[in-house]
Amino acid sequence: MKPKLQLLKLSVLVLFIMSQNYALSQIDAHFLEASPSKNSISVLLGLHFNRSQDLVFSPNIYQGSAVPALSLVYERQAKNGKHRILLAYDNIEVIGPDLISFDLFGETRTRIPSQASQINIHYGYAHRMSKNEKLQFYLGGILEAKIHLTNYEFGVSDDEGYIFANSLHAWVAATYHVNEKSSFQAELFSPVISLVSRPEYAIVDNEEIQHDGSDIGFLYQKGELASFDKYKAINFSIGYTYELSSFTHLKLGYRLDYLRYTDPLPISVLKNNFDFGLSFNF
Amino acid sequence: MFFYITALASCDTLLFEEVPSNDPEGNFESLWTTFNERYAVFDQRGVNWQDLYNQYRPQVNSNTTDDQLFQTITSMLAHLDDAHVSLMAKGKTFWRGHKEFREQTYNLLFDFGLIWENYLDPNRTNINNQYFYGTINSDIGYLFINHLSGDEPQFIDEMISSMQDKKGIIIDLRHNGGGDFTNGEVIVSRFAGQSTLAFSGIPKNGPGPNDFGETTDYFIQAEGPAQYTKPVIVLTDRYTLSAGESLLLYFRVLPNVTVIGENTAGAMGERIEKEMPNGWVYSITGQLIIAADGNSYEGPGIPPDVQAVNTFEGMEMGKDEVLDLAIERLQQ
Repeated sequence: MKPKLQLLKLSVLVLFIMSQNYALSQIDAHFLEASPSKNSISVLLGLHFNRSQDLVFSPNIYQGSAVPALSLVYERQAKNGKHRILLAYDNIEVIGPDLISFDLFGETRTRIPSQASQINIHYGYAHRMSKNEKLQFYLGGILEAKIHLTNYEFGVSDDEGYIFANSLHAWVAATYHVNEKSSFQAELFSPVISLVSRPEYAIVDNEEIQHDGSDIGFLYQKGELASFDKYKAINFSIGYTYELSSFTHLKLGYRLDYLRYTDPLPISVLKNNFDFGLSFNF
Repeated sequence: MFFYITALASCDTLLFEEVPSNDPEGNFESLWTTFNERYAVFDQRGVNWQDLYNQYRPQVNSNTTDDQLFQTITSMLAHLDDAHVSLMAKGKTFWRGHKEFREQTYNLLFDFGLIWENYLDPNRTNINNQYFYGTINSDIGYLFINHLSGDEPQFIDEMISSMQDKKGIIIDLRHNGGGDFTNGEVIVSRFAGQSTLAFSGIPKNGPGPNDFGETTDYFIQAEGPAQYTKPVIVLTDRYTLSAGESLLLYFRVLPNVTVIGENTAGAMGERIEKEMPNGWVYSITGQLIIAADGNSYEGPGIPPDVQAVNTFEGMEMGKDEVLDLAIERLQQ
């Protein structure tokens, strides 16, 4: 793709995202005037299960689990909506087929497990759609940067497979208050449009990344715009919150995170995450 | 909705591509198909991959043992005679796709230890057993690059600075095992006068035989505090491989460079590893490299300006005749 066209596409995406952000913040500013906000910071630890398949590197499905995985969430509740910033990271030892041993220069060498890492950073705003105090529905959008990186340990050398997606998601959420202390939450978000970077079809681009400059800059530069029919992703979660005190809440949750992209060859990543932790309200 | 999502979470066939069957036939097909769709240099190596399928596929059936499968696959891959092709199989010795690398008929025609002991002046430098430099007869610089893996070669500016008064420099790329070509870019940038096209890379980007991506041009760019622009002789042999060959493609376009030695291994396109359903790992060449003169040297190797090769008799006498020739030329 020509760089100018890439830049144009990226600019359109950024402008779209910025305008959406601005509109959302104006809406929320209106409601914040009516009601003081309530903030919380949650620290969550979890057990994350990873299954992934990237045909650029292997036809096999790699899987593994990690504990503890870390998530930090900041939420700001307004009378008619909520803002959220999330930062999540995990690093998982993953194995595909049996780890074979072979001889290299007179020494026996055994393949070691590969490593899969994922970083998610997102900001979201969801507007409250119902007036019911017991059951609240929200509708909004999330801006997310996500990278799923797998370092394939192939025995003699290692190759880095990745998918780097910057997405604007549609977001629906619901909260059900069982009583004054307990509540259940459920939410679903899925991308509307994304800027996606992937490795090349038949070469490793590690050296190209060095050749052309910084890693992240290179990944943005080679990104392709993808609508929801090309970059498919779903993020579904359910959670339970129990008020230990007015300052501290206990949180338990399950999150399913799935993505699929087919360029230059299909990659699928499925994560099942079980998290628990505390949120601190102020 | 929740039921639907939990069903999704446990259903491989919905969420993932079908994994080829882990049996002899599935493993053979997986490897053959990957080569068929992603190997970039069949034409340069004069191989009809479909013909090889017709020849070797009937040898594999559900009763084929691992040993037989290994034998069949390596026999098929041997037709490519590509130093970037390899196979790592359970319990086997790492199989190399280039005949000379397997048989090592001429491996002993180069011995850096001989140069270290018999040629280099005492004040010589060894950097991590990767880069070795010093002087010969006090007026000729010498640099041996064992391989190009690892971190950026930080030593190069100090070396260039220390050799500004030398008559010439010999860059020894014999037995260079390759590595990261960007390290070669750093080295050659200290020998460059002006920006010059060195080579182009064209990656395979689709399953069809003519599916290639955009060409990327690689230029020599002068960098660093000082350049060395006096005569340079680059030494090569049939074991000069991969990123070592890329470095040669950079050097050979410079007007002050003469290449002495043998044709290189002829494996310049980037090597990438793949995996079979049974966990065996193989590597392919996914990129075609075109030199600045418009030729592809994938297969025959990059020819030197002056053909020269050591002899076993000379080696036994402690003489590196190719190096002697380079020294003689620089002292003229």
